[in-house]
Amino acid sequence: MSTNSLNYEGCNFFRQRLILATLSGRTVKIKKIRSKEDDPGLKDFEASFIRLLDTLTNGSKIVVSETGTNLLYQPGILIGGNFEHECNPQRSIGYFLEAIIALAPFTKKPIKATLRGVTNDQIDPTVDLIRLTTLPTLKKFLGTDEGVDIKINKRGAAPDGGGEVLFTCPCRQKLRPIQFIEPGKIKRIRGIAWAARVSPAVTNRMVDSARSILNKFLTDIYIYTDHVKGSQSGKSPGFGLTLVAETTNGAFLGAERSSSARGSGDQPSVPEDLGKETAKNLLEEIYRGGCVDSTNQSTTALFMALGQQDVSKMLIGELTPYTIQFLRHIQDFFQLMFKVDPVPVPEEEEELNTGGEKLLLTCVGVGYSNVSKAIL
Amino acid sequence: TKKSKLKKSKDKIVNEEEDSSGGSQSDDDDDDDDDDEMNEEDNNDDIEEEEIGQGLRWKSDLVEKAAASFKARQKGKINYRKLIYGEELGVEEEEDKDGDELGGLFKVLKQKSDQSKNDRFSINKTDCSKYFPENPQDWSLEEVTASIKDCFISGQWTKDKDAK
Repeated sequence: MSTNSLNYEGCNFFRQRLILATLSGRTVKIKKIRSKEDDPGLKDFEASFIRLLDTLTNGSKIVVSETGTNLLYQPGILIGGNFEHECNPQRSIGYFLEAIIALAPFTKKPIKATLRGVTNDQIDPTVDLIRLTTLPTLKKFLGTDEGVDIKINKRGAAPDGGGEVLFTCPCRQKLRPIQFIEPGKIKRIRGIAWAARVSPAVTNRMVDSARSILNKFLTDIYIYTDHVKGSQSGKSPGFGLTLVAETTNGAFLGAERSSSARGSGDQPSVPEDLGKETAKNLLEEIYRGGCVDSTNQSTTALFMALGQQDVSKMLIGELTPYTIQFLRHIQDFFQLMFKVDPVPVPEEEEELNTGGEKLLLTCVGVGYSNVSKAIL
Repeated sequence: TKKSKLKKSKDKIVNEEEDSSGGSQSDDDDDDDDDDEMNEEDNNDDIEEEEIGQGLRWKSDLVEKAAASFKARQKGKINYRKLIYGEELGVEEEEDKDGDELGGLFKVLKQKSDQSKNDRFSINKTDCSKYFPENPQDWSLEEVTASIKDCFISGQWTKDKDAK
């Protein structure tokens, strides 16, 4: 691995840079973090994220300047294992969990992480969405179903959180290259309507309004209701809906909405509207299509890049800005370029209405192998 | 095959335009005649109606034409390699030239405004993997919902094969 460090500016794409630095072993320097804002420097949730990386690794060197606007990160070795982490409630657990998932296959010991904080909020993917869409993708790359799980022990809505999640994942020596270019047709829609510290009727109101839109497309719809109370319901009231469309070939496309947080200044959410909005979001996601949804594009690209030295192919919908930046970062850290081509529609399918343009993402893995794990 | 189709449709449009212009010319001739026979009002009306019918015919399928040309433009290839790995676009402007100074000593920092939506790449934006579409489609419209109807197992599988 080369020793020269990579330099970046600003706090955007913070996790991408630190994750890729950890995996590639390269030092990263980030300058000008909110240097022109009234409240300059790293925020609490970013500090919390750095602490998480510190727990996950051994021998990392992290230097933050006095004002918090500069950061130097020299990664150590990925350890993993059993640990607990208090996730800062400014961002939901999803923010932290996404990073853990990206690193989990390459740790020395299998990860068993207890994460506490906000389980569902409006910004980040919620733990429900990650469980229903990201885990199936992860399982494909790991080549196993065993031991990959997210258990939601307690729910905690924004802003105060109080939720608890248990994430387990085995580690691997190598990832499998994947060729997934045929998403198939959507055969069913599943979902979870959750509510904490509000009336249990709220869940059914969300389910009914979402169904009123989705029933026109498909009849196989089942939305679980999860109304939590007492010690399992966290510190703040809230409710939300996560919907996932599953295809015949095992692709999962997800969409979700959560109620606006208490004290955020936003209009209070109405369950009926929220249900409809979520259903429309899911249709939008189906229109974009592909074998993974917009939220999981970047994780998929990472696992493709880190696969064995073999060709990986994946059909996806339009690239999101986050993914585009991630592909650029992969080039910076691993000198790997993806081939991205629009997929021509075959003649026999020309007349079909299957949504927006699809892209084929192709790459040859860098042959990344887990240094801490002996070959069995 | 797609290209040939597009070409055909373009030719069609050109032909139609020629037709309509030809039509209006003949109408002009009619008008001259009308001026001569002022008392035959009924006849005049008929001609006028016809004139409108012919002269405005090019307007009738404007929506379809616009849709076709929009689709063609959308199909124009985006160079993804350039989009992703090309030159960096949004390099932040370094300093505001305006003197926002208090007593010539302190610089007043402007509160960051989130007005411009297109700056997801700017350096100090929120780091978030979730994608929020900027212009979501109106899913209450029939045409929009029809655009994804074959994504489901109940839809058509290939041109002549059906789920049933």
